[in-house]
Amino acid sequence: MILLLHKEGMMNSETVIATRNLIKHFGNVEAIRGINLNVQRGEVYGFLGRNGAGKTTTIRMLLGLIQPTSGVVILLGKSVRPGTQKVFKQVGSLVEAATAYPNLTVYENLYLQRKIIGCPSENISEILSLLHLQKYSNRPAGKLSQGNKQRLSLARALLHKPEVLILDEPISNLDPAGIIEIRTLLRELVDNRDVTIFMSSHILAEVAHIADRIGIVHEGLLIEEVEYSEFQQRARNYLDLIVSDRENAQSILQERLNLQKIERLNEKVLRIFDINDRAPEIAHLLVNSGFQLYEMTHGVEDLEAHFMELTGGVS
Amino acid sequence: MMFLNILSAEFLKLKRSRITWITWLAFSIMPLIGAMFMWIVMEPDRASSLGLLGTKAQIAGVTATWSGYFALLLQTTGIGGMILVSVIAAFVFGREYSEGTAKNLLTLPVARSWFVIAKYIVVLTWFGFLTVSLVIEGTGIAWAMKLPGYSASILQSYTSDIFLEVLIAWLIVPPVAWIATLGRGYLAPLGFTIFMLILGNVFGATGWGKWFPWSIVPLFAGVAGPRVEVLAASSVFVLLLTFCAGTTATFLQIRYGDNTQ
Repeated sequence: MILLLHKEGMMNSETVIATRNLIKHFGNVEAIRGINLNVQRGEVYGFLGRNGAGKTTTIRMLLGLIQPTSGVVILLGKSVRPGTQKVFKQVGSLVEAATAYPNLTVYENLYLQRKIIGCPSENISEILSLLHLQKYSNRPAGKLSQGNKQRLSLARALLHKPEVLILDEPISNLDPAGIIEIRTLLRELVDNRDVTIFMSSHILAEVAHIADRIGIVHEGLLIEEVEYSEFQQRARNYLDLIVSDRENAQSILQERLNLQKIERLNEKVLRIFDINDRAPEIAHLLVNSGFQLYEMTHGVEDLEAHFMELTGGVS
Repeated sequence: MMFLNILSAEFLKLKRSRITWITWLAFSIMPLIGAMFMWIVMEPDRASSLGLLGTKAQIAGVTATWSGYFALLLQTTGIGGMILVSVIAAFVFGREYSEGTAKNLLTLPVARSWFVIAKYIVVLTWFGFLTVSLVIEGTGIAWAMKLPGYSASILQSYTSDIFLEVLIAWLIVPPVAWIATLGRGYLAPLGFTIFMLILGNVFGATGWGKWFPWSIVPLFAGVAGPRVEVLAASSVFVLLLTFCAGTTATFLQIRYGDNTQ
């Protein structure tokens, strides 16, 4: 299978994570309906989706925690199934909620992992320092705050200095300063140690800050995969207007200026897409037609707006 | 070397758990209960003033001797031990799911079966330690109470029977481990244990006890009717079959079962 994918150009020597026609059913529920992923060495891949879209199920299949109904997972050139072992020497992971043995101290939790994996003992102090956990070293994990539990889980994932990190919601539970710190750390790992990161998140702004490529999963399908730089280039301009008599204002803009891409954002705001340089023209028309124009704001569509559009808006 | 590391990690997890103290306390109480019965039998006047408890002690045909005391210990550790070893196994296997750490273990670059074997060894070692502690405590109590009828052969015979009983109880741990991995937590295996103990009593009373794993310990301990001092070949076969089937099911579950916890 791996050779076939190479032959067909669907994988190359730089492909770190690949899935082909990945499908997972839980009884009658089609959780994943055919996902094809390609994650290249040294990139941060942001895996976005709503709750229940299939992010965690996909990650569990990547890690061999659940058996795909059909399809293949290839990690660092090796096929992954439940029970696969060797490849995980180069993989660090964090799946869903941060977990640790509550009666064991932070140090002991890392010590257990180190003993089982067999990495050098100095890795523990290094990782404790990197994640600012030294002062909690002797505290039982059960007595840590949620944010520090999250740091401990990240420390566990990073302890053996893996080539690949597969992280499910790595920044959830962190405070804003912690988010920036972890974001910087992850970026450094990619830039300086050539680590590849596959991370899911529901905090879209954070993914936008760190990801090189973004995959959007919806109802078990990968509905878009795009380089973040490409996304930025094609992001649409828009103009938000707060104007009196919104319905009539929309009609007149559509009729007189032939502006068809207009959305009512909320009770007050009209959002007009693809306006180019027509803002003065729009303002002139509305004012001359007797509308009260309270506010005009120019903006560029962000990842959140794009995500909402792709996944069907607010449900 | 790697397996020894896994094993020592499992021991560290157990050492830091409250269950170690709880199970030790539970097992330590058993010789004291036996001692109370001995005291009641030795002091019939006081026993009668204790009402039902004293009467029950007399009815049970307990004799205040080394042999009587250790026969009582054999009975209490038989049933108590079966419950306790199942609780330990349910904890050792089920905690990984209840505490959400199974997903961490299963993504480590080591054979999943090693975790199962290491956990079996931890359960056996801890249960063995509890039993040694119980025998020492029981011997001490019997000396302190100056029970008549001491002989080294009686002590040796009952001690070896208690350890054999422990081994039999351990052989029926794998189905508990399997239920813990299947049910992903403590509750399912504990429920399973209680159900099996009830069934064990039922089968023990019907004469099919030697074929039912959870009846064999009560029969050997003399709790479910007259004591079976030597296990029938069929019972040994059933116990080994239970161990092998439970272990295979646990291996398969941990190797191929979906971990969605």
